[in-house]
Amino acid sequence: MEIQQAVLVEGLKNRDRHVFSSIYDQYSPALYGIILKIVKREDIAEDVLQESFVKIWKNGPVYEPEKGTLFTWMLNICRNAAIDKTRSAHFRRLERGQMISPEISNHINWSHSPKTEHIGLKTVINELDDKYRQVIDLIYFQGFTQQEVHEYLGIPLGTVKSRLRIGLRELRTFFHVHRVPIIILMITIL
Amino acid sequence: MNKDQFLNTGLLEQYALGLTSEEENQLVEQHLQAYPELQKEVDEIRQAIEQYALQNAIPPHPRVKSQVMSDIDASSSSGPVNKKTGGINFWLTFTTLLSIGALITLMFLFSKKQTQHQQLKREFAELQMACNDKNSKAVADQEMLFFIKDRNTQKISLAAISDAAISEAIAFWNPEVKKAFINLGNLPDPPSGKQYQIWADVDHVMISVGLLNNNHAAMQEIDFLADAESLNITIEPKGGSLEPSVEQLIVSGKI
Repeated sequence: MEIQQAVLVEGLKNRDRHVFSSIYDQYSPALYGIILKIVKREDIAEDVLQESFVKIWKNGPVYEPEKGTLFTWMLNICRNAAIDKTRSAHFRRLERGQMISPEISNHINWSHSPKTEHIGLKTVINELDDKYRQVIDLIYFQGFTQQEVHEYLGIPLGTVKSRLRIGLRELRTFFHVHRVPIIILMITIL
Repeated sequence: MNKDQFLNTGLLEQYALGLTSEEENQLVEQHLQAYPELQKEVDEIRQAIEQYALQNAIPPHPRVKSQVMSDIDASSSSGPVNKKTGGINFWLTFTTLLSIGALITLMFLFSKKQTQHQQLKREFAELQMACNDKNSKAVADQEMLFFIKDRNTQKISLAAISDAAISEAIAFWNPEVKKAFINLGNLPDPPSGKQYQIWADVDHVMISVGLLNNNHAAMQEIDFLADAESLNITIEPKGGSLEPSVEQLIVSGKI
């Protein structure tokens, strides 16, 4: 895994077209899933994904591996591009007339990805308490600052911070717990 | 800030999610160095988000990939930087060629002028030499003219003893300046291997006063002998003789 990452990073930095194609194949579904969660429309999500990958290609040489994994870096580019899109005038015009309440919005956000619904994901959603989910969703997928979440939900800033912290810890714990059975399963198969 | 104070800012989570500004990044990174155990927390949050994203993956339509690939091909093959570089290259090549062309032309013109200059110099030297020759000849002619016109110069006609009408040479004799010249006049050229020699008669003894060449136009200087009574020309073998061959006497004249 480490060696493969190094090869991908090296290729991206050297603008290797073949390596870039592999990076796209490997990561575009996960990135598209996140973009779609933020912009909610497939046509817009496709545009954002395309723009983001062109940016990834152009900025490849300045990516610093010591500051975070390749995937985190790409995820940030895609997330920021998607958030920017939701704030553009064009996007707001599209959204107008179908404004939705935060509650429904949250629900949609976490239960999107209609046909590719993952059992693991469902488990996460079910296991993660609503109040934590909501904070993570607003901050990560809606681009809210902690201050804005505090104003939007009418809960104290300290609570926003602790809910984000606890929510992320829950998420971490979940993947830690579930990584073990996957490994056992793989060993069993082999 | 101590560890708890820092954790209460919520910046660590924001940082892990990639939602911090440059300034906030620096602050977080300072604390990550101070409390290395926090780095593990950052890594785990990121892993959780990655895992979440991977499990939430939805394959995009294949047309997106072909658009991305054609976009990056277009950006790397015909970027504005390339065009600019091409322009610079074009002007650089153009001006270089122009300079080289100008240089070659100048060198050609210079070498041509140089050749012309050398030729003119050579011609000038030749003319100068010719001029000097003419000048010295003119001076010599002038001197000769003065010599001939000098009232002390005696004109001596050397005529054939047998047939005066056919052959005549003329000598100019000046006892004042003690110089003498002879012109061969209409004497025929001597047979091959022979040449004319001129003798002065002093007390009935023939003394050679010069070997003559066949230049009929020239005034040939001969030795002046004050006591000479007559001048006589004989045909002698080339290089002259010590004694005149009397039977070969061609012309003579009294002084």
